[in-house]
Amino acid sequence: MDRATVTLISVGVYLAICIGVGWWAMRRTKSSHDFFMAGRNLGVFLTAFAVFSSTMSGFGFVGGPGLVYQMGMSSLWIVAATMAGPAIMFALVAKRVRLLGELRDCVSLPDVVAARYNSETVRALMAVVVLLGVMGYLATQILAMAIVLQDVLRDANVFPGISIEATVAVSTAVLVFYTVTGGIIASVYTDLIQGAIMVVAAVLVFVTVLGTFDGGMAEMSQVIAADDREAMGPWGTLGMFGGLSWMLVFALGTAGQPHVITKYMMLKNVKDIKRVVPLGALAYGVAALLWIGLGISMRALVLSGGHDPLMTPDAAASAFLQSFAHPLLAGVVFAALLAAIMSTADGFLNIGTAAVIHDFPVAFGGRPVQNELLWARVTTVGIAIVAALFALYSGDLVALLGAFGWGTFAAAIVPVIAIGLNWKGATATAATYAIASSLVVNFGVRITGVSMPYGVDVGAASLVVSLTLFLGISLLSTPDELDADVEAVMEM
Amino acid sequence: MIRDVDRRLIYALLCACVPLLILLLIGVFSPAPPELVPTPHPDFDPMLSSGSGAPGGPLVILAGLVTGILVILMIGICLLIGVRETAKSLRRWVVAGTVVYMMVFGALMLSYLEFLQGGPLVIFGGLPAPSAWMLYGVWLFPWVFIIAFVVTFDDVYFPPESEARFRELLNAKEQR
Repeated sequence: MDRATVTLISVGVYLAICIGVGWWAMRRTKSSHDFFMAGRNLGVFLTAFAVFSSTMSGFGFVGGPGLVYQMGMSSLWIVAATMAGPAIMFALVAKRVRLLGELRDCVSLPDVVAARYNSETVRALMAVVVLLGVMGYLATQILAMAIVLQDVLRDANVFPGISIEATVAVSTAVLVFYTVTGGIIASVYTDLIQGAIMVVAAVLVFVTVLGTFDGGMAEMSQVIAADDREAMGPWGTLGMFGGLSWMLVFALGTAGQPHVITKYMMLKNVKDIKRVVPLGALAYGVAALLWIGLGISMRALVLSGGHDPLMTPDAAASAFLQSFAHPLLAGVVFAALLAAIMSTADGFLNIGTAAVIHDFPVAFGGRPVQNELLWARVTTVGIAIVAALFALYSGDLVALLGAFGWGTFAAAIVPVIAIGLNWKGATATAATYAIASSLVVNFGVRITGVSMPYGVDVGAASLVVSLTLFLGISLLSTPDELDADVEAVMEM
Repeated sequence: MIRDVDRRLIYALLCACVPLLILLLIGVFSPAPPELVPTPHPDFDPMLSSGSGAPGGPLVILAGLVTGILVILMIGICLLIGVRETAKSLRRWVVAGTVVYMMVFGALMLSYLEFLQGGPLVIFGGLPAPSAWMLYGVWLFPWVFIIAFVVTFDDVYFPPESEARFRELLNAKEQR
């Protein structure tokens, strides 16, 4: 059986599993609490893999190796931040969101923020940030899913002329099916499967990578450094400030990703945090081997004449798999790639739905909508359709919103949630300014086209600005009165 | 007794942010010279090559060192903010870990200075020495913090008294 057919079968089996999990989870989803919080009943493995696979999106499997191919070692500062991130999540966020979530029956991050600051304005602003980020991320993930599916179908000569609109429709339909029927329960169970596929695929690819040169990684390093010594140095071609700004925004920013934080709110037992964090970090570390190995290998292969030059950096992963991987491994990795994309997309779909049918009605109307579960399902379909249309027809706007994601979440959420849930002196006014500044700086820089100096990431700059405003304004203001239960949780 | 984060940590975090903002502003008003900007690879576009003058002069490298130390300091302060003052063993662990983490970054920079001299490439674990410091040091070192939180979990992070207090709060909520 040829490579393309094996890949098609692997992807087909994977999509069928997702639909099956959605069908199974539908019977376990009886309320909006189940739909958004999985009944706060998740065990260690489910939560750890949900955290890991939500964090490792398609970017890690496609964009990451592509960046190494393009820039050398620069993007590995994102990887270098991925162990500090879980440590900060452990210290600042995991326990407090879990405790406050149960105590106040929170089903979303804006719920947690409203409980902490006693402010509907802060809740509404946080919901706006979540919804904007979700639309951008979701649209880019849907587009990525559709491109992968189109490639797989064309390579296998099955529907070779299939349009991108058709693959957007098919991939979105699968995503919508399992997230609508099974809500977050289907999402976390598929995350477990998706995470396991990603870890296995990463290990197998890394072993394959080591075999592409007789001298292994050392020879690849020599080849790249012979062409451009800096490219193989710690800062790559981007330079030290680009790398360090990525480290800042990805280390601190991990504690500011709503689709990741909400997973900790679903844990059955608070004490499981001590197993969830290391297990999630370990899984991410193993999966990152694909990013590191494949990127370095493709750059070295092209420089040494072992492979034709690539048309785009993002082609690095698929080109490597086509040329060097066993057909079965290529099949598994393509399924893993779809898994990485879908595991992030389903989390975003869920928190976006919560923002629309829960957070906005509570912020502006004072109470949630009637029959939340029905409206959650309807809204999930609506958001997915809007995001799919957005992906197809919004042109540059989708790229703008996609890039907007991580950095804006980090700038808006790290001060307000990570610091604010630990420091009683943090005020609602400061939270409002911090969230507003994250939107202004991120959108402002991207819309005006201002180029950041020395390759500094705009998300990192935005995080430093919002953190400074948050701390400064809180220190200058009189602390707000805290509810007794919130204060008690902050003291634990 | 009302317990809150030691306010000195908040000031310290602010003090780490301000120099980063200043460095950013300096960068905005004195953009990188063209020889520091990456250029398309002469043969394999869209691959990039480093600028002809990379990484820049001693001032740029010094600013990089300061930025790296500040970033790690911010990570350490954030970790400390999450640890109550009474948890002295964990606090010591975090402080010592942050200092060692900075030293790892310092070792990376020293190794990078040597790397800049040219000469044969020193390879460790398949990577040039400073890049090896980055991946095997900067990437993996925070496991020390994760392990510290795991080890002290039941005594410090979520001790039985916190658990009991949380149960009380839940019971009070159910009775309302």
